[in-house]
Amino acid sequence: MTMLRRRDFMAGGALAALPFVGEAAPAPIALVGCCRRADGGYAVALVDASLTLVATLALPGRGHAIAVSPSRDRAVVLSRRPGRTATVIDLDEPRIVQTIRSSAGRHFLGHGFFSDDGERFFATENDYDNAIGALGVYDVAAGFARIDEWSTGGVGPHEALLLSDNRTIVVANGGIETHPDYPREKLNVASMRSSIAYLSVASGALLDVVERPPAYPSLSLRHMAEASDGAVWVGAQHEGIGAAPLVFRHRRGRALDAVLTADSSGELNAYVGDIGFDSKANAVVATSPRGHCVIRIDAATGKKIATETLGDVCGVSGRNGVWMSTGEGLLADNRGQRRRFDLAWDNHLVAV
Amino acid sequence: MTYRAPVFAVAIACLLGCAPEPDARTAFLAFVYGEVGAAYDGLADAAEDQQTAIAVLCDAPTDANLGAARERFVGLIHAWGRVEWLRLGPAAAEHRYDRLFYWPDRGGRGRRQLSEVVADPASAAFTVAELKNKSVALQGLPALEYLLFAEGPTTAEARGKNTCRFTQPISEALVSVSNDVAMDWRSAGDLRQALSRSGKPMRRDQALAAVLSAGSQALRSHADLKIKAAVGDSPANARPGLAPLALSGLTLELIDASVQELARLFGMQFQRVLPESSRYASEALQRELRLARAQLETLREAGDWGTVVGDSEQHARLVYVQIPMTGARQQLGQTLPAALGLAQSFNAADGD
Repeated sequence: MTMLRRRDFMAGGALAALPFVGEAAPAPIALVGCCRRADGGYAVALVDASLTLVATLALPGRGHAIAVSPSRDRAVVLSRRPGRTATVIDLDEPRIVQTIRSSAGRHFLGHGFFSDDGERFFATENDYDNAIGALGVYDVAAGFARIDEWSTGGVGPHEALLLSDNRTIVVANGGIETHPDYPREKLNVASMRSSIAYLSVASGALLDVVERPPAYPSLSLRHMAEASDGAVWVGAQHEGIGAAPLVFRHRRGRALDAVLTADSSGELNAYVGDIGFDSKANAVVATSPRGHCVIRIDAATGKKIATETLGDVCGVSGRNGVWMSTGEGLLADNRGQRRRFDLAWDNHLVAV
Repeated sequence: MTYRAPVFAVAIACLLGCAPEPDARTAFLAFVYGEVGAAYDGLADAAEDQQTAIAVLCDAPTDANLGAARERFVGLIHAWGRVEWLRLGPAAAEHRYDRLFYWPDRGGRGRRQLSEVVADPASAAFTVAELKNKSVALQGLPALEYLLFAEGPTTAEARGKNTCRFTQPISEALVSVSNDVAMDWRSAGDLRQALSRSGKPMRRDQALAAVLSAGSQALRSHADLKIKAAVGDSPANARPGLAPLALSGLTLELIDASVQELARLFGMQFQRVLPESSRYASEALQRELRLARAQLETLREAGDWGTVVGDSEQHARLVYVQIPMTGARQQLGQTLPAALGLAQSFNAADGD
């Protein structure tokens, strides 16, 4: 059977491409998230705009975040740290088209992104024998060949984003050292130094590094979203004891601004799992699976607008409306739409 | 040295007898609180004994006194084995856990730093206060192990001259930190307060879930990090030095002490927490722990860590012992929390 490719449909060639009248066109994929299926296997799940599950594609291990190409026809699923695979998906079919293996002495750290022209793919990686963070640079046209590696200016990089200027990369260096000899064991909590680093996407040059507030040495800055005014919003985890601020705003050349005080962050239970930006409402959405809640913050004032209880919520996408996913199988938007799936949604969710 | 035990006995008696009949969950939490408190007291006592033995050794560096100090170290490891599973509460504050037992020390940072300062006669002795601000790799039980057991001068006299500048402050710091943990644990008043990160008491079910999770994590550490990572597939590709306490040969002593403690804590008192229909899960847990202990006992009789890792028959036993440990871990981490109706968060299990 001829498969209608989503791009053909989007380009207006849908009717011509249909093999015969009456065959339903495949609905475009709207949301992608990693998951654990009911059978216990790990997969990436793809959902259309009507919240119908289109496919679950088995992964070699637990996945983490997903990067979607600018042309919206490809996605790369990064394995959860200390995973050594990244899985390339054709979103039109949908199917797995390639598995990228991490290079020697490196493993993936869960996040990545494409350059604005789609020619390069970047992944946060751990140079584990030297305990330093790396950003792997991949040539997409060459079958995701790894062509370079840049320093992230810190240890344990987690999420990395291309900012809307298309010239600057921002990386959250979580500060936590790990090594595959001791999988997922945090090796340096007593001496960790988390930071936000800015890099040039053209050269990889390190432009700026901003460390976590000195009063909170055990804070791990991990997830980020860019607001429409260019500010980078950061969600953190606290590896120490006691209250700590967990949501920050940063503008280049300024100090990291703790948006919520330590005292008002208690409901997040020391853990922000993901953060997104709702452009329509000019609001930041931060989720906490340990606090089982979602908070919304006015991006202009930095004031908390609302808290919603949602069991094991973590994934959040601010593109095309706000969508959230939970480990209890729920997809929810901020207008009250809900659908439960027979799977556990993993940490991150991305809108295509 | 002995004042702590009666305080706990009274506390337990009051919780069980003075108060209205507590239900099984409350009684179990009170039991764990009392037992952990007693175990912390035991650690503080063992640390004091070690400090005394080191003071004697440094006053009179004879082979007999070195042997006595090493004997005390074995006792200290047994005491640590009783509390190692609980990386929460007062032990987690101020990086105390790492200051007591910094492991994994990937790349042997502690040994490297210690060997440098010991080899340099001009390097100044640490004070206990200074040690608090130094690398955690330079303090705690693994550091003391290195100073007491590492190859070096063969006579106690020569060893004493070189190392007493460091063994004395490290042993004093062990007393100080373990006393701080014991005192803070006692002053918390109950387990829900003792385990709190925010200052507010945990909910009862949260505390119960935290205890089960900590037990499960400890078994993961024993099976996957201490044993599996070090023993590999065969004696030929084993790396025994990856395990803790490989230098003193006490790796199995530590693991056995910990497994024994978990078996005791999750024994009869815990079984009462479960509904009748789920008691099989508790029995399965005990069965797995008994199997693991039987193997550990045989291994200990066969020789120290280095010996058993290098012997093909005992190596096979080391591979086998991971099976009941993993089984017990799954009982504590999955089956039993489910049987107790405790929320098992998929997204926040160990953070990312």
